[in-house]
Amino acid sequence: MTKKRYTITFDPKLVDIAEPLKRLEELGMHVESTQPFIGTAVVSGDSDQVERVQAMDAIQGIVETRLFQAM
Amino acid sequence: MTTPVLRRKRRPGTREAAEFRSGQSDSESEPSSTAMTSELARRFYTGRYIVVFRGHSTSEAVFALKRASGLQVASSSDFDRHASIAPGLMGSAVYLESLGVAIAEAPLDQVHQLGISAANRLQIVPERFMFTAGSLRLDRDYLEGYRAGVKAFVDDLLAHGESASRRLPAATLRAAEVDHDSTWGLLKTEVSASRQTGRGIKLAILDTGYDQNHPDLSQRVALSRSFVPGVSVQDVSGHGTHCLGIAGGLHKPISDGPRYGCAGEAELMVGKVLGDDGSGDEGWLLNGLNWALENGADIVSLSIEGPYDPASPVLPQYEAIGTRALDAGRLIIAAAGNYSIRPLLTRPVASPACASTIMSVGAIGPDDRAASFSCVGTSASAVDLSAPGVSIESSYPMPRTRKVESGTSMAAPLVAGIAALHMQATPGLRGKALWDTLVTTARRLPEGPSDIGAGCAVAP
Repeated sequence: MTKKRYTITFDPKLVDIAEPLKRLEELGMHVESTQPFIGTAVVSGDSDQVERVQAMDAIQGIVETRLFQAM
Repeated sequence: MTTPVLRRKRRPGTREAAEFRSGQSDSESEPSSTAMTSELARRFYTGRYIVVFRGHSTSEAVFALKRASGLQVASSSDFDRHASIAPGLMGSAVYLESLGVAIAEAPLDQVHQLGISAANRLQIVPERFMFTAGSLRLDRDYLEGYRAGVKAFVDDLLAHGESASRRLPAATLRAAEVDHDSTWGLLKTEVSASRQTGRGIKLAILDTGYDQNHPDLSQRVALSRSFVPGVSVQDVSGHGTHCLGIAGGLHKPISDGPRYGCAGEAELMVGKVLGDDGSGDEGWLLNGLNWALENGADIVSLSIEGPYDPASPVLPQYEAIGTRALDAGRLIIAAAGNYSIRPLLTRPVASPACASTIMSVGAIGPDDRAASFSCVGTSASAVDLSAPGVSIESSYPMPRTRKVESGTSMAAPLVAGIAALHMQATPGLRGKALWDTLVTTARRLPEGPSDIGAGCAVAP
């Protein structure tokens, strides 16, 4: 299955993202980077894994990562 | 809890769709709006569109052109090497292999279909006529307008600008005008008249880095880091150096020319989140935002835009990040975007500025009107504030030292610098309260809030 890169936003009520990160890795997702202060992580995974991530209470949102550019 | 993955679907009937239809009408047939629209269209735009592909192979690009937009497509390799290459029929396109660019002769709606289906890895811009330097009559018109705008502004300050005249003797203002010791943007926003310097305020610029050897900036940056793998914070593109200079350049620059920096004593932080080609991965931006806020940045300025996507203009992660920042007493300020071509076409605020928790800044010219390129606010994504963003002089990598640039990229760091001045002027003013102050103290302008938000930011 094709893997894509996603930006995950954690539930802002979470004090610590260690537990959901562990769960993401258990699901087989590759955690590329984490940004604990702003509550995000960049991961890669397939569509099945994304569906499971969507069901996690600790996750507020998951969207495909994008490119940005200077204006 | 389930949160759907954003899907990119076009929504018929949206403002964007209406604008695209309107754009089609303007470019294809007799304009239905004003004579000015018609005149501008004739003078500047050919009626064709340039499609810039990114990371597509030739076959992918040609396939996308054919399948998504139904265009008849020829590749430059199909033509004789020395032949002039251009599309000739409505509904056709030529793909220029060596440039990764296509020229499409088609209604905008048809070209736009391509943008939706190609996963936003491309840009679509109207093709312009090119002019040799000095041949464009607008240059003279513009410069005369510029001169009139600055003169009217200074006259107004001298005659009625009670708040400004309290801070700065009229003679000093006259000297500023005569000696050209501040850029027009600093005059317009009353920065040049303010006694605040941004001292004690941490201001982060996340962009293409900065020129570490620039005489006006080399001693100004307290903390810097590159989030672009394998690349130093040194700015090659020049965009980051320009933005940094506007926000926090020295009040008395070492380089030759007028003052261009706003918060000359703010503690500057520079995160390089865009590569030397001016583009970057979202992961780099997120790492930079996290670093800036974790290291205590009071204000973060982003002159960055994501790809235009009318189906999902607001990315939820930036709503959440902006909320976190405000809750922590910080403020993220972002450029509204340069996708409009007024009066032919207006486009909504780009991401991440379109998040309601990130302050979106549009650009105005010396005439106090929204700049032709400045994105427009919609019900989903507002323009919050505006600032000068046309012909803005600021620092540029050596050996050039300075350059004049235009864009909402220039307006956002000016507002970030002004925010630092407000923080210094009112101890304890932070986050949402700072946002409110910037909005309530803005100078009201004739155009409506969808064009320029609350008005032009003004220094305390």
